[in-house]
Amino acid sequence: MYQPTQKYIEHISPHIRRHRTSELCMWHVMIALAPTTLCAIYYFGFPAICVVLMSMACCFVFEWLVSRYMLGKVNRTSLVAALLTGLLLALNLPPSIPLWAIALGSVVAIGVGKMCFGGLGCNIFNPALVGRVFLLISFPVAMTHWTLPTDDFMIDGSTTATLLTAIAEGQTIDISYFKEFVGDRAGSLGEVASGALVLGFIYLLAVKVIRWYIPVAIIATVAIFDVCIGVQPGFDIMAGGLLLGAIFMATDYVTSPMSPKGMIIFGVCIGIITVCIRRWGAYPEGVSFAILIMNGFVPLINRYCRPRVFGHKKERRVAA
Amino acid sequence: MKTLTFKIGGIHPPQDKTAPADRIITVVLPRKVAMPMQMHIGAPAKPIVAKGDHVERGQMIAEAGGKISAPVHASISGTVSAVGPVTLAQGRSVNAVHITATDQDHANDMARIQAKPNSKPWKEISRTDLLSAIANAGVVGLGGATFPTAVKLNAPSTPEYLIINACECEPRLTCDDATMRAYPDQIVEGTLIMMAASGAPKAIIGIENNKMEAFEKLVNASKGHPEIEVQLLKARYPQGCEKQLIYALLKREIPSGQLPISVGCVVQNVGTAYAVYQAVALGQPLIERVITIDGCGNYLVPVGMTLSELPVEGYVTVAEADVVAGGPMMGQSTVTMDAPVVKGLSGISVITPPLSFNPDPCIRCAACAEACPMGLEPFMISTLSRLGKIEEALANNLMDCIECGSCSYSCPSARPLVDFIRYGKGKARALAQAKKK
Repeated sequence: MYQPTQKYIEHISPHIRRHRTSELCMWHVMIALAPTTLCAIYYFGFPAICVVLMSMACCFVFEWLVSRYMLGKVNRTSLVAALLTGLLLALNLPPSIPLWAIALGSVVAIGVGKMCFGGLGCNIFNPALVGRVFLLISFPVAMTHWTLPTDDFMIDGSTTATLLTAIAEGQTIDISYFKEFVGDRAGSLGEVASGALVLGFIYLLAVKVIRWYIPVAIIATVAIFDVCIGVQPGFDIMAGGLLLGAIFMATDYVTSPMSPKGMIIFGVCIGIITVCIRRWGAYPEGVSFAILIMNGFVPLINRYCRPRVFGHKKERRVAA
Repeated sequence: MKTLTFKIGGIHPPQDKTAPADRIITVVLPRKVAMPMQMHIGAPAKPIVAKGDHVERGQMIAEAGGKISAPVHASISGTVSAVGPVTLAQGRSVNAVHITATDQDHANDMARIQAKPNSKPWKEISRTDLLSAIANAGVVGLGGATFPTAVKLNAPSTPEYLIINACECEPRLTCDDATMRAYPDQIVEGTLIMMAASGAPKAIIGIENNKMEAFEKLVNASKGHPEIEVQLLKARYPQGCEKQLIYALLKREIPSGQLPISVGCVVQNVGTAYAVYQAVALGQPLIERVITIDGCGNYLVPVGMTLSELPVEGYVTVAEADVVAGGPMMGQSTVTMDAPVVKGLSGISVITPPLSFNPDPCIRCAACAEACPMGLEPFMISTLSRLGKIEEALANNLMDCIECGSCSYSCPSARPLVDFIRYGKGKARALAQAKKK
């Protein structure tokens, strides 16, 4: 007699689901960041480990505290997202930053950047960048105290200017693209090794966690803009946080547009704002600001770049 | 030949078509059947027999209950033991004619099945007579929607194309594949009959490229008929939905809210083509169909037979499962196997372990919008429906949703997107009804 089960579980169709969870996507991003993190640890040594661990731990704890005691329920995916935020924040900090500043940055990133808006999926701005920009504006000295990559595990290695600071101050720079690519230079943890970042980009594309539109739009725009104003584009692309921002920060699902068209507009605008800030702004580095500014425009972009509905002649009108 | 497909959205769920399609197992007629009166879309059929009547296999036991309706025929000979409710697999209770066979009835039926009837010529029959023959045989769409076939073939304007849907894009199901492999000539014949009945000068059979054997058999069977084209399609879900299928084959877009006839097409399932052949050429009404039992095989089952009596071999019973009537993407969960086989049942899929309901917050990844074959934004209309903002959901093209479930399937946060969209559509229909009154 045909009786396939003792207990019938009812479910509304579809009865199957793709084997990919939001949590898995976040782990994929963390795997993609592994080469960059390892490079940072290789170049900056023990301080880099401290920064990464401190930042991740702080974000995790604050996320848990806020969800447990203020929102009332702890969500596993949201905790993993906090770990990712912590890692991204760490990679945006200089290796010599004091640990208390990291804790403060994490509170702002998680508390102000994310939980204030209602938690995972509700935030408008990229939490890691909110934390980073808060630190940059509040503690400019600590945030721009750059150490050269060092072999010994000493906190205060020799201090130097990053490439972009040097340019802004009118110094001539003498560094090869190769050095930039392998990461032998000063800067934030995650900025120094362009090669590792590109490796992460390829991984994310391969596992289909992100699409190429945003990073390619940003990088291409910066390159074209640089050529127009007569700057060497290769240098601008590899220097500073451009690759880190384009690949890992601007592509954050929550704070980026949803349609391919919107993604390209978003990327192009980030590229233009970045070059403007770098060339004519007060800060040598503009990617964080550019991404945060464009984050604010995402709802607007989403509203005007909607897919065409099958069976409708024109692109549909924007509804409330 | 170029392999075609549709353009927007679409997903590739795992096929899991493990039920072998190379043979169809004929089930021995049961001694007891329950023939539900509502096995089609439209008005329920009206019983024309009473308790104690003796009926023959193939005899009409209920007539069409309205313009959009279909009659029901006895699938076994026997005595009407009751006219009363029966519980369908999904748990709904409907009126049914219960028939019980004696040994003598059973022996007569079996003998009649052994003597295979000859195919009757149908070319001389007029269009109206063909349509009434199909209607009187109780043929309905066997793809799952169960719309009365004759009504669909009798379109307000003459169609340009008759499209035979042989996609079977649902995972796990292989009943259409099995039917095509077993009866390619009959399907081509059924297609010709439907072309004559609808007036369409051309026909296209659209078949996905995961069914190459069936494709080759159909190509061979249709060799002498240049008006029938067999077109290969790239396997992709939901290609079997009318709108996507017509777009894939002809690059024509059905305007929102309209039927396929607006672009000169009538779409019929491949199983329906076989049923039409049986109805017109063999004079056998729709009293049996091929169903897939997930992982086991394909069975030719009399309509009205109790599901739990199917002679399925090698089936492992599990403690708990989501047993689905139909395929896993669009089928409905069942609550019992002590229910009759209905005309629209394409198979039984057993999903173990069943999905758990544990949604995460939406992270605006746009996976749903990317998967939607209609170019909608499921995250938005789903949320609007959930919040009861039906007017706003309608402005965002709520009613264009075809409920294929691609969005829910793709959502990494496991959100019940299509569930709330269905809820919203129901509310919108109720609102429209209320406005009319």
